[in-house]
Amino acid sequence: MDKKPTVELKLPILKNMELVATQTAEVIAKHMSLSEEKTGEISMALIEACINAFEHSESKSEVYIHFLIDDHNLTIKVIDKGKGFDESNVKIPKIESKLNTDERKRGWGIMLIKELMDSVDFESDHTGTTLTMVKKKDTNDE
Amino acid sequence: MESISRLSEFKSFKEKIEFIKTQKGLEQFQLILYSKKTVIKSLSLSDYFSTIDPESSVLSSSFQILEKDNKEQKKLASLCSFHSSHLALCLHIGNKNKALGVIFIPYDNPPSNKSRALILNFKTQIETQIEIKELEQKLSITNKELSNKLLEIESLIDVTEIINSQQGLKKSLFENILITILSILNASKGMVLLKDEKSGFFNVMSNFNILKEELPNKIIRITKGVLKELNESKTSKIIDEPQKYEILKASQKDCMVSPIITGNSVEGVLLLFDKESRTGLIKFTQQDLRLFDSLSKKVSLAYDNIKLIDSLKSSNKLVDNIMSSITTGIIMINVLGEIEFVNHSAKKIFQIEQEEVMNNHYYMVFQNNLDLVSLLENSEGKDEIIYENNFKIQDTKEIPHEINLTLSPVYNEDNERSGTVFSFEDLSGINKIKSTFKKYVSENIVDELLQNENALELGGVQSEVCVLFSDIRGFTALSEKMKPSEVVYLLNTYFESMIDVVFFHNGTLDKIIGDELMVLYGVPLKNKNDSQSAVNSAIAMFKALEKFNNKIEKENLPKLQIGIGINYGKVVSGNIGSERQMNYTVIGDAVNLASRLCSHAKSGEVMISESVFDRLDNNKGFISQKPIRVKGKSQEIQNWIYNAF
Amino acid sequence: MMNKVTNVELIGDVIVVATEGYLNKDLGDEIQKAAQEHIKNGVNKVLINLERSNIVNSIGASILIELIEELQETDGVLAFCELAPIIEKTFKIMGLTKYCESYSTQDEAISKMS
Repeated sequence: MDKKPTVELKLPILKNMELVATQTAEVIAKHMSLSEEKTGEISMALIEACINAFEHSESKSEVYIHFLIDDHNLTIKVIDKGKGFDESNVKIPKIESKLNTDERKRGWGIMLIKELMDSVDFESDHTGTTLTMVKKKDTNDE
Repeated sequence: MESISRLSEFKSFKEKIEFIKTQKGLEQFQLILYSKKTVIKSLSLSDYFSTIDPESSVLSSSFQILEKDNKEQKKLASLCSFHSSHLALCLHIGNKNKALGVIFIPYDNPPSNKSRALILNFKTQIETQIEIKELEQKLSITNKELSNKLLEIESLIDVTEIINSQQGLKKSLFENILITILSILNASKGMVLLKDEKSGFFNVMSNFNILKEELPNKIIRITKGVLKELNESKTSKIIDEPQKYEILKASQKDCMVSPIITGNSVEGVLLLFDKESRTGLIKFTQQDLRLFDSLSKKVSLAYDNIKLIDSLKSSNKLVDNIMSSITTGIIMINVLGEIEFVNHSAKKIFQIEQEEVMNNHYYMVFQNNLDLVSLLENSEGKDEIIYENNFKIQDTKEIPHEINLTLSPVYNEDNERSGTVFSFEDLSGINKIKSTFKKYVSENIVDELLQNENALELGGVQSEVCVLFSDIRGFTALSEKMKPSEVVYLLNTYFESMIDVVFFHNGTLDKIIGDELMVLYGVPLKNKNDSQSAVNSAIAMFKALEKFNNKIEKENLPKLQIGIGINYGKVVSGNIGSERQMNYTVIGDAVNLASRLCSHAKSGEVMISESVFDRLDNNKGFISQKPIRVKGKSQEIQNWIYNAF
Repeated sequence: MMNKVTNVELIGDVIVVATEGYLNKDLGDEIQKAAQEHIKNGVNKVLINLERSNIVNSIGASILIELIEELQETDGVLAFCELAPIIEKTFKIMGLTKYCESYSTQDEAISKMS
């Protein structure tokens, strides 16, 4: 009896493919009886995570999304096989000082993910990046 | 000389010069000064100041006579707008080789020695006065610098005090800082902007004396306006034309802005507007800017610390949460023996409250646990980690517990002993389960099972095991002759000693049926040679029986006789039942045969089957017997007997 | 993709832009363009009705931030109505809500903005 059912998605890097992930997430959230609020937070965080992953991948390959379901949490892993990145770089204000409008629009993703999910972890090297985020089912569990 | 003394009577140099001009031959006396304008001004000699280049003058301290056509004379004469006569007396005034001026006296008749003496006296006086004035001026500048420095230091102290007293409450901290800096620098309005961590926009954290409509209400980013400039230069500035910038619209005169920098990024801005003075609004000076800059650097440092404290607080909270979730009790004791820290589990296990124990000595806290106290005392002197297993303690409600404990010495950065960490696990819960479990299974197996989760699965498994049966000969008849309590006592004592033996040889107790004992070797975990283990058990059981019999004989209870049968074969074994209520048991022919062998064995005998005999490493003492017939089997069974007597 | 601007109309002195679907970069650009057309002509009150848009991403939202800054240059305002809770939350985190109002209904918004 497997206590941790897993749903795995393989997304091609096409426009708006992140919506596939959010649709799946919504169904899973319903299955886990998560509140609307939490469902919305998961979807939003997942959109941002996918967009980031698409960027790292540089259209090289696919992005994998794993949903791990257990009694207490929903764990989502967003995995890309791109060139990896350094989390500390995200905080450099370079992003804001560039007047190039595209640069200004980036940089929100990770901040939003951290605000919306209960825990966020990165592992990144030159073979790719795995972002792991967790939503607790019941935050009264503290 | 009377004219010299008279010269000294005149206070001002003007008067002195007028007096000199009354002397014979000195009517055309001219004084020309050409440096140290402010000093000259202070001596009220500005009229005599000329801005000629002194370099062309000769530095000499004696009188010179200049001819009419002498270049020098002409130059000096032109200064005095004087129409010269043919000769002139010239005397330079200077100090420390620096020319200060010249005394120029055109004459018709050469001045007398007396007159020259007078002039010399005058020169000395003026030189002295100029020197004095120069010194005064230097002193004044130094004083001013000192008092500026003093102001700076006092302001820094003020700001530091504020920062230290706030302990990280951002809003009130910045309000107080703003007001203090404002009053130090006499600004009439001020504002502090801080960057919002999430959005990256700058918001007004506090403001002083700024009307609502003058506050910035637009998105403030580091990429535009004043902030852009501050981000590029990272220094404080005076902004002359505040109207150019949206966020400075509250300013009428000028403003000073300074970035609050942590790490290498601008996290905030301090702004002061419109310096006040008695005469109204004036501009900020460079001195103001310097002071403002040093104050804002302090603020930057403070902000950095606040952020660190905040993140430390949240990681402390995290640590607290982690600490409280650990089931290991942790108590930190300092060098004096006082309790410095108690985590949640420690409180639970000992049933103590935070307030009761903090900062109290362990003698007091653990007064019900003298063994623990002596252990702690011992650990104070030792530099090694002390472990104790199954250590008995009593909580404050006098309920006994067993704990596994560790006492670890702790050292500070200078490698001096700074205390002891007392960490412990309450075994009560675990012990209960373990001991219950161990009632059925040998301890060794329990420990192994606890480590290997998969070993405890429901479901039947076919395996080969060795089954041992033992029963007490004629027990029923015996028991009829005894009191019930005696029967129970006898049996329990008997089983206790038998089971000890069985467990020692890694047997698993399957059942006790009345006086019959069923033991399995090879389940749930296989041993090296299960048959040998079974046989060794059996032999040992007889030895134990002898001891047992000696003991109960002294208690006037009947001695017991037993017979043992052992068989090895295939069985279906496993946890049969449901997840909640499992019975580990075996089913199969091999079991039945073992039971039959037991029935056939006489008192003091161990009867084993061929399958057991073949597997023994050491079958010494086993004598082959005539094959027997057993119920349910058509073939006769080979057997060997070991006689314990 | 079914995300688009469904309606642009001037109600009083407020230009109302209604959308449908995923508020990503494309839709954000569309909204911005639509609003800019009217801002050119002197309108400086913009209301974005997101009733039929339930999801947004940060790039779309940051385009809206640019729109806010544009409007602020002429002392104009940007407001939203019918925001889904998660969008409102996202806007709050990103700092938009400090600079724009969020109304429950379009009618309420119009009456408060005029």
